[in-house]
Amino acid sequence: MAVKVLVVDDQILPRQLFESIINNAEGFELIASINSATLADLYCARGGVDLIIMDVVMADGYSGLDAAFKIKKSYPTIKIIIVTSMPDALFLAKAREIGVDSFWYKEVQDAPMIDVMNRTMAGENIYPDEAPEVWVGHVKNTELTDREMDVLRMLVNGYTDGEIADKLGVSYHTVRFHLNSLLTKSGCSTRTDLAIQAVKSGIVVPTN
Amino acid sequence: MMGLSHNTVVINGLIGAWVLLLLWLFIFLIALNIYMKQKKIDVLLTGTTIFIYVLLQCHMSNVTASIPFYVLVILCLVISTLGIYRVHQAYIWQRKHITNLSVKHAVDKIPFGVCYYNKSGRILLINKAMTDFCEELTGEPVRDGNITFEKILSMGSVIHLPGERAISVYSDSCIIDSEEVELATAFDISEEYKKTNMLMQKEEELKEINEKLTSYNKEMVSVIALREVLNAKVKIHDELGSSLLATKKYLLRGGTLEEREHLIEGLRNNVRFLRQESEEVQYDEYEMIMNTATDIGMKVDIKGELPNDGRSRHIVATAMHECLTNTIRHAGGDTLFVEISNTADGYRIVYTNNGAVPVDKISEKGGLSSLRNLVEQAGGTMQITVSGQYILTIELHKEKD
Repeated sequence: MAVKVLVVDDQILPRQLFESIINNAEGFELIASINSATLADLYCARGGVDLIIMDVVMADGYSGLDAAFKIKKSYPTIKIIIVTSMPDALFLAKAREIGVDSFWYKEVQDAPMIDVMNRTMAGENIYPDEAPEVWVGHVKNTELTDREMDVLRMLVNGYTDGEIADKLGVSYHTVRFHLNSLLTKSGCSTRTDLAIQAVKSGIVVPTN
Repeated sequence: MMGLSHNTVVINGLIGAWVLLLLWLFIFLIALNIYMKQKKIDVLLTGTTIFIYVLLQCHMSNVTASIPFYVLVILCLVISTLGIYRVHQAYIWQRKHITNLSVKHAVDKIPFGVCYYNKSGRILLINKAMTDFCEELTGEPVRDGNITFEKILSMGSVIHLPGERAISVYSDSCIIDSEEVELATAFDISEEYKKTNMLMQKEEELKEINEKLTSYNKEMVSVIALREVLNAKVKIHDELGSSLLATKKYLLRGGTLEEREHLIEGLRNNVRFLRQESEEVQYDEYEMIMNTATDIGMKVDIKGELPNDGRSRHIVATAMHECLTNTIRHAGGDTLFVEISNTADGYRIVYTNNGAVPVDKISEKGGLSSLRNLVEQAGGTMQITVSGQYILTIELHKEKD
């Protein structure tokens, strides 16, 4: 019996690529291909969904990870593969936390999608070891500390230094220290430049 | 007899001088202890000394000749020892304690203002800094604590002065020697005030930058999405290129039927991607829900006109989504009925379905709970009743333009 697949991606071309992969793959059947994660749970409620291929960043602002969380909570037997082109390591961590079955980077592929689909359906969890390496100014994302990433994430989301300190439960001076370290490592001249570089590279995706 | 009498007079005289000395010593001790506010023991000692002196005088005038002389000597020795002990104690006390004057000198050296005054306004202690602050703030010296500090505190807890100066003044009650007194303190916070102002100004500038950054970032996410599309297009074009090369090779050299079908399928896929890439149609929330419902074999029967203002539209669509989910999952129905009517200042939307009536009490968690929050945040009301059928009623106010 064919595995029934739901594709959720807000961009038509990636969606069509997935549709093409599914249509050409043996043992898989495309039941729907939708452009909003908000509605994915309705297909699950109706039944007949075995596997969901879900993008993370959607144009309507609703995250594919939030949808995955909701679906996993109500329909734990449905397998989910998160697919993204964003190298933000937080997505990877959050996907593991939610209990997403597999994770696939659209642009850096360790294994072909069909292989990931097959292994996921066989009960394996396919996750890349780490987020892809990308440059933010003069520094690679893998060279930044967890705390620096936390500060960068908040900076990108428009928080002031004081607000970052409050949110992270550290002192204002600690935030300044991490920011200076980020500026030094990246070679960015201002915090604005740093935030732009971070978003541009995709290591941080604004959530606000 | 004369010699003995003479000797007795001499000894009595010596003891008299000794006792007089003791008397002066204890008068000194009393003075010292009045100053130290501890007088009980020394009054007793002085009283005893006076008593011995009187006894001695009586002895010399043979009134109390029956008291042996050595008793007087022993008494004098004992009292002298106690006196010396008390002088030593007083010395130690003085070394360990400070006087009111020392306190005043010490508080004058404190850089911030301190003033203790009692309920009637009498100043108990005020240092130089506070005197200067009060004169600067009220234009007059401090006479009555109540009047002065009432005037100062009415200016606010932080008082701004010319030249970017700022003074912070607090007043609080405290108990000293069982008496409730007021303690007023004043700090010159000009430096901190200047720095805080600078910091606030910087925070404001940062906020502006951050707002711009946030809107820029939103744009950036779209740009990234477009980059993703571009990468996909590049991939398709590459694949199309490969397909064309393979087709050329096939046409020149020939091949199997299977190879031909594979080539045609590849070309067809590539062409389909390229033809459909601009065909994405954006639907609004209602259309998306309706289309999805149709897709999954559900019906949505709408009576009345769906609200069109942004906030109500989102809430009504979210409720449709939630009710559709519940109709499928819990009621086992296949039709959702939505009835919209206008109220005086908004809408009433009633959601029912053709599924089974819930047997258990409906607990609001997850989706229903989020929906209630959404409705109540918009100032509306949400009600769930189960009488013959499941009914969810939402009342919303029209969004003002």
